[in-house]
Amino acid sequence: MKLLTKYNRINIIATIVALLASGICYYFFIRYQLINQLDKDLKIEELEIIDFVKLNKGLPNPSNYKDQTISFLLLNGEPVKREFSSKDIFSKEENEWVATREIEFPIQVMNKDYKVMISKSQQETDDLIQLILLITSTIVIALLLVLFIINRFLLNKLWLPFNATLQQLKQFNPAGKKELRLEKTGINEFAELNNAVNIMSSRVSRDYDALKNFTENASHEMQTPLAIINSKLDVLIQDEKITEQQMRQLQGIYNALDRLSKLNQSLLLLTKIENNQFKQTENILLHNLIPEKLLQFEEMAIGKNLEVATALNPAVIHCNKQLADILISNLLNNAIRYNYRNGAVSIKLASNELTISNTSFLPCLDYQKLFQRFYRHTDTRQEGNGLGLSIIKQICDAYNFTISYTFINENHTFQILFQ
Amino acid sequence: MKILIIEDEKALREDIVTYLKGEDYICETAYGYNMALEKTELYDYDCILLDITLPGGSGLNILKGLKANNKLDGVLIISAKNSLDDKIAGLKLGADDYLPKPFHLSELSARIAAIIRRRNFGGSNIITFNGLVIDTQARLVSVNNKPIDLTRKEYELLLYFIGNKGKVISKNAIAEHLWGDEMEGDIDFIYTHIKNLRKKLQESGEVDYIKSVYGMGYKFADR
Repeated sequence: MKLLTKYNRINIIATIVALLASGICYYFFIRYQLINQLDKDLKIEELEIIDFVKLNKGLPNPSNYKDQTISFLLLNGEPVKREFSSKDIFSKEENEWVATREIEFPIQVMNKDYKVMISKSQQETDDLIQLILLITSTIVIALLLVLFIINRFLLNKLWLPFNATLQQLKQFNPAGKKELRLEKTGINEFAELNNAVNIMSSRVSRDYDALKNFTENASHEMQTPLAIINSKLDVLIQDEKITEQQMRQLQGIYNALDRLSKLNQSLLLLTKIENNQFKQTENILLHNLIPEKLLQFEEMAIGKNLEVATALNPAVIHCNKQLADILISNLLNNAIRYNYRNGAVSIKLASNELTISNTSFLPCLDYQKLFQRFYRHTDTRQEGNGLGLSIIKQICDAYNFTISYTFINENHTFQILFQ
Repeated sequence: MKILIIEDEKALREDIVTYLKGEDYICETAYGYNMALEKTELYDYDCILLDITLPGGSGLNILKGLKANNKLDGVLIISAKNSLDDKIAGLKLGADDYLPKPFHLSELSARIAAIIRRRNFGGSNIITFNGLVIDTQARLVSVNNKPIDLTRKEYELLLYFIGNKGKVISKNAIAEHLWGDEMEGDIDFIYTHIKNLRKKLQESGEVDYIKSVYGMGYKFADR
């Protein structure tokens, strides 16, 4: 739910409740006041009648004016209490029930007890109350309308800086060189938000840079010790006194060292692509590059007796030469290395896409994890380092190529769309 | 043949010297920028191994100095920074080759041999080893004046062995030399190439120089 909607909802409900409550209070208060006023009028009438009885020793004539009725009732000993009451009386003139206010009180005239009843119509009071209610509800509607308009237009405008900040945040990428540039705003809350976002984003960028630099430096620093181990081994195996058993141990060290060196190189490569260090680009003729790279894997393909089918139409991409080499090499390497004997590889190149599919001893790869660093299928027997696909993905990302993977009919297919 | 090794890492420097001494090389070393600058200015070398990151300055400046003084020393850059920019910068400044760390000493030795061969303006593009003659310009190999037909990989392999005469070369080093680091693993392919090379040399009547060393590697030697 949008904050605005939620706010509006609460606001409108609160407004309606408050206005209804105040309307009800208002109604009762006014009604109380008006009835009080009627009662005062009735008391005046009462006094007038008492005065009249005192002066004339007799009852005045009963009267029936438009809105006031005075009547007398001779009592036969039953007691009468002085009291006010509201009653609905049927009016013959208007042919409807009319709300009236009435006072009853006892009076003695010439030793006879009478009950005096004075009633006044409440019609005017009711009319007044109705009018008041009408005005109140008109105000409620007008207020809601105004609120709606304010919310709709003014609040939307007020939230503009917030939306702008949000938009910028969505596009924020710590790997990008572009820093977050938030517009100045006069609203304190948004200014504070922007300030916080600025601080946060620059910290994120700084940390990200530090991490990248760390990876690059660590990889670089590792090269020298690796070089020393390598050269020590190269010198050591020249010793003629080394036994066959020892040589086997040394071979193990060589193999592990090779893996470590390659891992280090791959990590360094990933960092460099991320750091945008392959700036020089040129037009790469993929229809020439692919056969050239394929030649490098020829022996492996022949060794496995693979059926390699190529359909290469001319395709030119604008890319760094080294990265294009690595991209194609890695793709071919995967297609051939993880293949089984007598398997097949198919390479199709069109002006806008490259599709490489191959059979493999591996089942379907995990779509979610496939491009993650160090992801390797559990059935992988070959000694890959789990960075090949990450590197492919990173290169594709660097040039906005779209890479997708599908597994259909026992065929692993990687497709790259250029642009 | 005089070689100057400019490398600040002591262990690496010593290993390079130990490995290269077996060949016909006289090795000198320098471990700092100033020392390296002094030696390169005073003497001539057939080949200089140049580390780029040196205490006291950049190896690239030493290279600039050499070229400014019109020195003809061959230069092989060995760098821990495997960056294309450095490589391009180095080669543009006139270095002959670039070898990123870590490397196999056999690779280093083969590259030094290649540089020295190319630097020899005396027209000596011919390498001989007993009855074996290799014309590196024409990429032709003959045994006792009879040409033999080698594939590209076999030729590269032979040249690699010649550049490391009498040395045990690990299979890992050979694989890296033949296929580079783009293609990992599958060292077994080496065996096929070596078998074929051996066969071709033997068929032409030459002694079998290639010896297997406990399945760890190979050695190219007279005896």
